[in-house]
Amino acid sequence: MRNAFVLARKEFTCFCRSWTGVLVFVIFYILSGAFFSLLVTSYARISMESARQGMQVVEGLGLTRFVFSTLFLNLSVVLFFLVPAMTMRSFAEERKLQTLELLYTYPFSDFEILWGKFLGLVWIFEALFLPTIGYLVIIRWLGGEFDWGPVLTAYLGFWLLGNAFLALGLFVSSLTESQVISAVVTFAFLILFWIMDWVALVTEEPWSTFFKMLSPLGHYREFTLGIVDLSHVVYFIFFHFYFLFLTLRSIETRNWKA
Amino acid sequence: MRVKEFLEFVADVKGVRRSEKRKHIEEKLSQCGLWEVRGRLIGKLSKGFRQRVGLAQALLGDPEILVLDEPTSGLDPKQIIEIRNLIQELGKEKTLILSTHILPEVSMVCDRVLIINHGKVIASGTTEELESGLRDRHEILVTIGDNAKKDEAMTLFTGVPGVERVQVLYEKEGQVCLTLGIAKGKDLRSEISRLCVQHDIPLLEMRSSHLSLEEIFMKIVVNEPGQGFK
Repeated sequence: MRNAFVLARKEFTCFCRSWTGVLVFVIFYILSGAFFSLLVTSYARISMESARQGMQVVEGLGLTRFVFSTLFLNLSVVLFFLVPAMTMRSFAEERKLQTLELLYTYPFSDFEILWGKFLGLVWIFEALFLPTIGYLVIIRWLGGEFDWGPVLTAYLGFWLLGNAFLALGLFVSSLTESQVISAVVTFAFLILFWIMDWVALVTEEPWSTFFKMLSPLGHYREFTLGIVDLSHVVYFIFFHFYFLFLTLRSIETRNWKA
Repeated sequence: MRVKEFLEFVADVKGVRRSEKRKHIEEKLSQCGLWEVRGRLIGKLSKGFRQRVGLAQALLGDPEILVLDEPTSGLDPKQIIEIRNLIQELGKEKTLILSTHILPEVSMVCDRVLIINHGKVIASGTTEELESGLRDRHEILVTIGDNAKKDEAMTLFTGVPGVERVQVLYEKEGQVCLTLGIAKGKDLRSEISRLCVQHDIPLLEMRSSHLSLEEIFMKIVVNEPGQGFK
């Protein structure tokens, strides 16, 4: 396991020093900052309007619900674009540069390579979204009140969703030596999962339940509303293991390709 | 990734102790001539330097045996010489197994040669051993500077005990080159030079002929029974 940490640390530092890494960070912060400030200002306007007209604040339009749930839903869409860029390097680039062979010569087991790569991605992802905790601080500083519960579950959901997408991207990356193919295919898969969410709306039972269960966004939405259902957690855990298992098999194929 | 960072990563992977890590890496950096480029990005280095980075990472953790596959392929002549010198330097302390198709490199660098054909070891030994196993007699090439004295020289040389055969290899611009077949295990070079001086034959050049490793290789591989192309 120590080896996996060593590899993860290398992945993390390499990513943060690469142009792709810088771009991913910059784009994420610009977009999340834009979403956050738009949501906060529109919330302020709506609540001021209703106060002027002497109405009670519309029920269900709490700060938590309006700002954070929406913010996290929007950020999940941002992930569609950023995850392919994060995972395309993992195996595809190393294979292209022929440094993957070098990695295989080190005393790593296949399992450690997989965990090292995945953990590196998870760390990058955490470094990406944990600074958004600053938004909570800003809200408090502005004097806003919010529920801790739903915000925490939203973070948990976002973490699970991001990691699940990364596992998918890692698998695609392990199949090809072209970064472009890796990114495009990962993006296509993610969009496919997004579409499933819509398909669930327009199909009849039992198909609508089937698509609803299959789409990660449906499960994620519940988290942003502050609901932690065991079935959703189990779904994400399966999603991870399914793609990590496939990646492990894909790494192992090198032994019988030769 | 920078050279030093990469070596630090490899040192961690190979389990080099934390307290020794820095010293160990610096030692390998200077051993492989990478000290000046330690802060540069590996991707931006020339091929020779990248090859050295590869060698340095292989050396981390002090393995006793190193297997190098075509270490000089794709390098320019200056880099080839540098890498060869490095390999020779390393060979003093470690066992190096060098796999290569460049035979002059083998005769320059290696102590022992193994020739593998179709997955079977068909010859092993030092270059000299391989050569002496292949031929039953030894040859000396003698060049004299006066072709009027050719016949005199030939009869003289034939008279020396141990010389089995004297042949003219070529004649050109008044010079004559002779090959002398000499019984195995004898060195008659001093004898011959003395004779030339005594009889006033201008001796321009004399050397014992060696088979090059290419010739040895061809002879061994071609002579190997039943190993032709299938």
